[in-house]
Amino acid sequence: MREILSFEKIFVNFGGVMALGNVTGTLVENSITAVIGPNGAGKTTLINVISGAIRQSKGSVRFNGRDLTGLAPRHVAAAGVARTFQNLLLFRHMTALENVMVARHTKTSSGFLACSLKLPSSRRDETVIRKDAMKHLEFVGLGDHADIDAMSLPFGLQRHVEIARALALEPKVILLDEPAAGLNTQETEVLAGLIRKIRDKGVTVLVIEHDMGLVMNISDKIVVLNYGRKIAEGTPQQIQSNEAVIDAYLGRASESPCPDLLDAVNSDAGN
Amino acid sequence: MGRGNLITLIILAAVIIVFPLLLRSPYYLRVMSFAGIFGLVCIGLSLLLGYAGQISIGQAGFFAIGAYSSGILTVQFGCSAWFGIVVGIGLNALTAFLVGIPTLKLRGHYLAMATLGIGEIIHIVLLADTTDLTRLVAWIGEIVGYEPAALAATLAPYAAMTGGPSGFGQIPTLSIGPWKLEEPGHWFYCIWFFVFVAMVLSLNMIHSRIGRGLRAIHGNEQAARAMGVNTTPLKIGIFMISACLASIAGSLYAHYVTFISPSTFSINESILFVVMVAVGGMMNVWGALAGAVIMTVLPEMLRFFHDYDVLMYGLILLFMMMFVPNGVVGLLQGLFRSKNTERTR
Repeated sequence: MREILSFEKIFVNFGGVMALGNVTGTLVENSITAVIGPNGAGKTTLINVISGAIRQSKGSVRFNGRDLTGLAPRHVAAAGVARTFQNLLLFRHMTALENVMVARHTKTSSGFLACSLKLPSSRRDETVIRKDAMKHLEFVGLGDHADIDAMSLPFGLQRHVEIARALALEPKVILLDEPAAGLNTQETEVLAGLIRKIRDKGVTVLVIEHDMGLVMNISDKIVVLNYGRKIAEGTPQQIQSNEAVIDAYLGRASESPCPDLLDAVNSDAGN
Repeated sequence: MGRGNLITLIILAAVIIVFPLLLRSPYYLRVMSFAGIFGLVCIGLSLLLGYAGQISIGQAGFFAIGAYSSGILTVQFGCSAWFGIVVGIGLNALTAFLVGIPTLKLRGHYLAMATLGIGEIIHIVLLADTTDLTRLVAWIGEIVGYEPAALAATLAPYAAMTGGPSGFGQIPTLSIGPWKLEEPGHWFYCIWFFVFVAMVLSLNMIHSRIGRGLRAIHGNEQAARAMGVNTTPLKIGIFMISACLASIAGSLYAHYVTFISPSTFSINESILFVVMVAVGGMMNVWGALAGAVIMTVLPEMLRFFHDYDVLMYGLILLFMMMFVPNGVVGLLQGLFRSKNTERTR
């Protein structure tokens, strides 16, 4: 039960609005941790802080004994923490395979000259990049879609390309920002299997999700955020019976209940 | 590089070899030689525009640095023409590097503003004649407290090197080893050899990790950064390459035409380069070449518009942006693809 990534006392302010206040948590190696909470609870902000996309005003992120605080996104990625995006940020005009190949950028080094002249070093890089990218694309089940323009794939498959792209960084930790958003029940089931497969291959998963069925199904641990603060943490069973969480979701304690999460909880109760 | 590109390259090589044999008219060879020179600039611009998503409105400035480096070094200092070409490349790489550092660190189109400025500055410097220079020397002399007359005397031999607004001539032609390029056919082969090499190198680069990194930046800079792509050096690198290609084209122009003056290197020329790339197709280096050829040959055919050429360029750009956003090459590719899919259906 080794901690691979921890974030401590994270504070983020957006022009006076507190997005995260004193959030602390840890990811245990080879586990799936879910972060849930109503819209605007600061879930994506947390991923942005860990991945270096935004800088926290206070607090630190440690990964594998190394301090990630203040590192640029590309250094965080190279260190072994990969991410996907809530609103799918695939590269336009590139095939699924090429999208994944971009993530092999940090693992190779041939420069402008070597690439223009097609020197042996660049040819070698190219073969290795293609092979590795293909491996990751096959891992998410998209081996047959390698040469299709990524943006023309069905939405659910685009999510898989994004996950393959993040995995191609060969990270120790992957941060998935709402991977089930926009997927139907069947696609969500496939996704659940994929997330487990990612964990089983030795990658620690942090997933932000609104789909309570998925969260309860796959998570080893759940962290609940509300208004930028952590209100609960525990196993799915503990969270389901946690008073503070039920209050936050049903809106008893909060002033503005969140209808879509209400639905999520209700549909989960129905399952 | 895909098979399609390889075939197109072979066709290009064949056309280059056969063209002067079929069309012996010096006029056609001359027009196509200019198309090749502009093609070189456009290949660089299209790498920047279509693959890195950055626009430069100052390519004429880089073109000018190449031309004047070659011209001044050969005419004033008697250097070898090839030395002039190399110096031009060096100067341009340095200029692009210095302009690129502050502008390309930022996301967005700051490069367009900066290159608009640098192109205009270069043009103004070239326009400066001896009196402007004497005035400048006097001004600097006053500031540093050095006798202006003495400073002016030291700098006098260099003062009129650019020839001011009227430019200068008698630039020697290129020679490759013992052979002097004298006939239009020689020049055609020489210029298109450069174009062909630039094409091969560009295609190699596009289909490598560097090219993919650049296309990723164009596709989505935030995601590119998150995937570990070091965006700033890539953008600066491609900008320097585009400046160097413009420099080679400028040097070739100077040795080919043997006379250069600032009017060739104005903002109109910079805009014309952008129009060429837009006409051919921004997402494709082949488009850049096609655009350069079309936009060089077309005005020759539309001579009667001559006084309104800028207006025509504007109209063509407007028309292309509205109705053929992927350019001529993009349009052809689209037609070819839809025909193919119909057949497979």
